[in-house]
Amino acid sequence: MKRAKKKSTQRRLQSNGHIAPQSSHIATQEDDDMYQEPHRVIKIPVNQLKLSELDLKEEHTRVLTANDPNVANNITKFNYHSHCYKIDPPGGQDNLAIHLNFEGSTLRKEGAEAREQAAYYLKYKEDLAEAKKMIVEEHGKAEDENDPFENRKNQFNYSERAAQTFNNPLRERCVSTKPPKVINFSGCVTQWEIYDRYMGDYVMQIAEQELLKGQEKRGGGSGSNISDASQNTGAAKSDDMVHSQRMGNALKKIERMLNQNVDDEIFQDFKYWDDTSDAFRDGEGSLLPLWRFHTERSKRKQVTALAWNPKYPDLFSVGYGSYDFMRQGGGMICCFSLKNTSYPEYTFTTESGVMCLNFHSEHCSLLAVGCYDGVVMVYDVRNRGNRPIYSSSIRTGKHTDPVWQVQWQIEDIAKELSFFSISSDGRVANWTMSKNELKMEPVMQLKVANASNDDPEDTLLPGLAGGCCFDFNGVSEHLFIVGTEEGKIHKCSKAYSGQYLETYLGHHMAVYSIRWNPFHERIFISCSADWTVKLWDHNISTAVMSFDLGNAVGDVAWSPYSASVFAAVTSDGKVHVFDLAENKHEPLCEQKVVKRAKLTHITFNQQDPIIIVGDDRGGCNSLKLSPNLRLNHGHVNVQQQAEVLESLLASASIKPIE
Amino acid sequence: MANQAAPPAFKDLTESEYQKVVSKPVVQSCDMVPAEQANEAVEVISMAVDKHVSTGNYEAMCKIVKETMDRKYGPQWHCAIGEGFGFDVTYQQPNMIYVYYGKIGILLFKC
Repeated sequence: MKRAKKKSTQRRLQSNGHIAPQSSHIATQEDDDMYQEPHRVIKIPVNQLKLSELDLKEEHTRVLTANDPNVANNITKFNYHSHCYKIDPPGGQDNLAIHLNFEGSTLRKEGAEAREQAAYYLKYKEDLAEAKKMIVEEHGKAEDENDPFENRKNQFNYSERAAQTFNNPLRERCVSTKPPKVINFSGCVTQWEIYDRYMGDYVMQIAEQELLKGQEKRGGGSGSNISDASQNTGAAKSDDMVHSQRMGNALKKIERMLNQNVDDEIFQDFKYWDDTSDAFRDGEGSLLPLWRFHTERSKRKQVTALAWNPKYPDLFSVGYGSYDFMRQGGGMICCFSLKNTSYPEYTFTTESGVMCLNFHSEHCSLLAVGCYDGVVMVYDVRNRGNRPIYSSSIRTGKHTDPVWQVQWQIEDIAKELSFFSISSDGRVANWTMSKNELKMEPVMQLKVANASNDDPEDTLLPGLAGGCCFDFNGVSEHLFIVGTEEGKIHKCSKAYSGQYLETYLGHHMAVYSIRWNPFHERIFISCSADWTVKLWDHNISTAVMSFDLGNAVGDVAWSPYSASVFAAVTSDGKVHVFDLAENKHEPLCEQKVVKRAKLTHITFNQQDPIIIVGDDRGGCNSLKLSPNLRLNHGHVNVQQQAEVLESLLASASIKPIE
Repeated sequence: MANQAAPPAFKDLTESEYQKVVSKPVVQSCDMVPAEQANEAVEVISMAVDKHVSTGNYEAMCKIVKETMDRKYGPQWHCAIGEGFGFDVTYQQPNMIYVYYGKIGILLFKC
């Protein structure tokens, strides 16, 4: 039991934090601890008086006075006056000590002081108003603005301190101008001088009037004044002998004569010379260089087109431009004549490079031109002006890519003239020369013929193949073949647009030129950048013959006199002339005609045994074919020629497709 | 053609015809550079002459011409008007005009 009690006290110690004296009364029950009630313990100091009950009841009376017990009331001080000590009277104020003295500023509203103050302010205000009034009366209203009683800007008596800047010293700068120009003038006013002057004027006036009268008379005779004026100017021009048309003609004649004299040897060669060595070598020929046609202005351009005039066998036109995409410039067309080899007869300049030319076969002065910027134009070479008579524009329709070939159509006489063009934008268009503009009529779009349909993207997006060249069949006029940039050749018809009648595979690179044989209706020839020239029968889908020339072939042309002769030019500057009747594998002649230049185009003259080749340095060389190369020249028999070629093809032994 | 026609003599013209001929100013010599300035000067001269020709007050004409030109083109203009006089002046180029009008000669220049 005792042990338990001890334990409980210990616990209380922990919980309550104060020690209950051992002696005090402690609940003996353990239950008491459970509620932990506070215990009241009365502690009595040890030294507390022990009073009896009686003492406690006794009453004590204590009286409080205002007298300060600490203040002495019997202070004695020595009095110097009376020389004796005297007791100060009690109640001296010396004992007053003031620790804090604070006067408040607040006043009670109802207090007398407040009323006094209010009255004071009222009076002050009244005085101020009165003073103001007086000032206004004295100085008028103007004084209001700078009222001395109002607050001013400068309330704080702020004064600005002046700043002094540096003054530049004056400097003298003198300019002496030129005195105005003066001139002396002297004369004499006399009545006779005045008279003479007036009379002179009068005479002039009369003369003028007479002239006008005469003109009116003449004008009445011819119908109008304007024509008369033009006659007059014409007459005036004819007076100017040096610049007259007749003088021009005479000069041209002299120029031609001079050229013939200077180049006499070449003219002799052109007319009479034949390579006699041809008689001793069989199956070989040579080319004799004649003139080189070039102008100063075409030096930096490339020959991009050549065309002989169909009516005048001595006239040909050359198109200048550039095949280089990065170096495009203006174009030029020059018409040269063999009669004047030093300077072009006609020259036209174009905004964009010329890409192709074609003379109309009947209206031989009409020249269709295709440009690099997709414009096609028609020039009348007789027109002296530099302007085409027709030009396509965006309004009338135009190609969006270079026009690679143009070709006139032979139409009925009643019909309007038209020509075809092909461009690398994949379109073949027919252009009609209507009254005042070129009308574009799309003939077909060269869709990419994808033989392999396994690529879904290709079938979804049918692109257009860039056309490079085309040629119309001479016999079936609706038929034409198109060479494309990708190397395919398509046979198309004007009747079925958008469909290929046949596709010829064989070339791997762009087909540069394609030509029907002029004697045989089935045969055509093509040349390509893949170094080959291929001969085709349009009924056979593969090439009948193929010739590898060892360089990109710029152009190929059939000869006009023999069905089996054609010539090709390559970019190494060589001309290759083939005669299939003589040699089916090798060219009869392979001759380098230009140094350090690429040959771009070739064309045969219709009459004379010469060819013209254009190079990429702006020059054209004319070459004479040696007798071996023109065996048939001069006596052309179309039927016979066709038969010759037919037999050649038969010997090639290739089966036509079913 | 002018050479072929015989120069008409004074006797060919009646008085009224002659008056008609001389009724407009004739510029004998002029080196003013803007043509407008020359035209303006001729206009000023003809205006002044028309105003005072009836009274023959050449002095007044001179005054009008000089003052008008001074106002328009800046000083200093000089004007000489008369039926017969000789002159030898130094003027500032290109500001001179020498006109006949009727029977009088007018010299206007700037210096």
